[in-house]
Amino acid sequence: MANNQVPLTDSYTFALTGNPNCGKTSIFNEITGANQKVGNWGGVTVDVKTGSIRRTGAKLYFTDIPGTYSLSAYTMEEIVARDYIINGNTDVIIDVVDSTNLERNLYLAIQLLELGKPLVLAFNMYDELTRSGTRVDTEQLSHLLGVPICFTVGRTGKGIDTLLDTAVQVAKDSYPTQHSVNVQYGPELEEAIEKLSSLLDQIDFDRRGIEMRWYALKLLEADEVITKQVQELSGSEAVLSEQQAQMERIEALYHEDAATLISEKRYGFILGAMGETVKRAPVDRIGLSEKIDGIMTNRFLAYPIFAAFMWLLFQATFTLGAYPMEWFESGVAWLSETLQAAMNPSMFRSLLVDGIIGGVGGVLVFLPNILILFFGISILEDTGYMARIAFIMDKMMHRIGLHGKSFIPLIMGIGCNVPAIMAARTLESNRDRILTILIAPLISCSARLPVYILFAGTFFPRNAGNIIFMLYFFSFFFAFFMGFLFKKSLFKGEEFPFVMELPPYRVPTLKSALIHMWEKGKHYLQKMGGVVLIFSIVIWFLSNFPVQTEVTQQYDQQINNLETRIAQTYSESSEEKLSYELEELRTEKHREIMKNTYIGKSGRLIEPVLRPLGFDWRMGVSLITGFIAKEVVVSTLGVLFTVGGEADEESQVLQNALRRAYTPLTGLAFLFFVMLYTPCIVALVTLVREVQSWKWSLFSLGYQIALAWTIAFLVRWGGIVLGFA
Amino acid sequence: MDTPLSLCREGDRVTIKKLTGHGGFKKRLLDLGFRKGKELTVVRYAPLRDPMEVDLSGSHISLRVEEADHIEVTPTSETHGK
Repeated sequence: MANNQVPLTDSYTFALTGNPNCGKTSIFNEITGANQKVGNWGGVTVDVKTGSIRRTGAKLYFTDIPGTYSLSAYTMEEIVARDYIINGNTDVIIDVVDSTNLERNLYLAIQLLELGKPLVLAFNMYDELTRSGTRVDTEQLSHLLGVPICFTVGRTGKGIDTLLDTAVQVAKDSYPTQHSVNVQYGPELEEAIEKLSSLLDQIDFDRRGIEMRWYALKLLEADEVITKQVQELSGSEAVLSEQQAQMERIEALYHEDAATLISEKRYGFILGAMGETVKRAPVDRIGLSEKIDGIMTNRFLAYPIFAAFMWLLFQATFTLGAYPMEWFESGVAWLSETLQAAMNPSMFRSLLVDGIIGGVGGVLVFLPNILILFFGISILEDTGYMARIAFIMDKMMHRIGLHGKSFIPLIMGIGCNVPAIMAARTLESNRDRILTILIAPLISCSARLPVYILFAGTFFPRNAGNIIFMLYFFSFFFAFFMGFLFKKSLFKGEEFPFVMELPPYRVPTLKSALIHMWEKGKHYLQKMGGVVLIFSIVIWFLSNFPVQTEVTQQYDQQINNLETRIAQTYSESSEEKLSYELEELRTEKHREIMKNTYIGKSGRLIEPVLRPLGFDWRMGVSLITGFIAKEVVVSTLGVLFTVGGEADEESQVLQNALRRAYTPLTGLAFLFFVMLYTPCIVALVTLVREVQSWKWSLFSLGYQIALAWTIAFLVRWGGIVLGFA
Repeated sequence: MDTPLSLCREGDRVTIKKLTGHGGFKKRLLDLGFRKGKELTVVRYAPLRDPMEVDLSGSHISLRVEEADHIEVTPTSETHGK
């Protein structure tokens, strides 16, 4: 926290704020490097990044809060941002300003000024401003606003040293030009502000170090959060009736609501200050960004280009990702083989090799895919193309009652449903958010890919790529279809505004893409390390206990007999035949034991439900464990089908075993089931937290299982009727 | 003469006369820089004719056509649309 009680070392906390797309995050990355932590703020799951550095004997803590256009707190991220600014324990607020868009960016700065907290403005992308020929008299502007102004270029790190020096100076209260400047709202509004402020004072409203004037303004703007905060206090009736009276009085006087008038005054103040200090160069209307957009959002080219980018992202993730995947695979195989050879057969070896390495290793091999995918998504975001996707997709998304922005969480879902569900937070209305979250898990996440690869590779080796592409296509189809259905049934009613910014195209920085990629990779590994490791052990236990001594002994005896016969025989052909029998016997032994373990029992318990789909108890077991994490479906099938003690090319053994056990049609039905049924536990936990309603959580759980069952049923019986059995 | 922004064509240059929306939507417009007296240019419509994109002194904002109904504008200069 700020100013902790250690007297010898100074420590200061800074909050980085600013409009979306102002380059705030690149400044944050530039300051803290990869030394960041992502955390949540106040119970909601909006990411708030923190990082710290040491600088000239002081410890500096930074928080990168979500971008916001103003302090009116409209989206959930903006509510979080404002909450942090008001209630967070920061010494200095650093407002990152996009120099190329001063008017709108200063609109936030003005509101931060009104808070009365120590503030430093960082005029970012200053190089672009200079290049455009516009000149700003920053000394004068700094004087007019009463705050220090620094120049930064986030992507190169230029000016950040000065920014830090200034911020520390302000934190130490030793910066010379600080004085308070207030926007004057005119006699009528000022009277209202005055009255409300003094009434708030009278009821002992806790202003948390912020000017009471700011709260009065918020009341006049009919701010819901602040009004609620006041309502909870005793004696608030006087304030609230005054609020009502003043708003009505102002509206009667000006034929305009107070919020609009306040906003106009703020813009007036900004324009006044800019008029004195900014010399604008004649603007070249058709900039490079505009030229690019002429192509990217062109009536005929937009969708082919979009499809091409998606195809590229796919190829990079899955084709390019296949190489490091192979290295991982052989590494894991080598490790299990080595351990297998080095250790004596025991329960512990079995736990280590079959349970832990088998389970976790099977998940680890997909890390390259995830890294490449998120690298790509980060590039899409940083270039500004993500916003164009929303722009060209809105009409279609709107049809199913969603926002163009909903397409982004859905795309993210290809990587992982967890960030996808979280990305739905960028949607303003609760309705849009819940609808998006309900359908987002239908999008095939990368954890489902191992299952796809295994089954498509096993049953459709010639068309594996096409089958996988079809699955992705259908996952989007079902998401849209269910969205449409929900809109027509559960979510009838008003929709939320779409208005959003299309930021200029920018060259993405490698650093930011790498940091983003690293964060996602880390998240995936943490999930794997924790949840999957624990459950790999649990599954190993469930699939090895209770120990069935009797059955084992029976089979061991038969196996022994066979082995003796093999040793005694001299005919090559009969030896071959006996060896084959031995192999069969070993598999049978394994299967018989499995059947009576805890996990086999649970699989058989649900088998009657899965029978109509052509699934057996082993598929049932793998689906149950798939609830833990979808990729676990593969490792479970691995454990269930692989004869213990045989650790060759694991996947090859598994593929052969699967091919013997199921028809391609059953394999396809299983693929559809895995595609549609309940997401993994992490996604489900995220979902519960995000929708904040048990009703919706249970609904989501239930409808997905029902949908998965129905579609798998249709695939199987459709196939049988059409003669593909 | 005031017309809703939604009736403007690509390339039209107009001045905002009034915002007629309500509550959160109107605040959002204000936060993004839509205010009385502000000039804007209609840049384009999305490939499916909705939403539309406007240039608000260098910052590009997209909004649905039905939302643009709530922004009353008047032509600033000769339109140079298609």
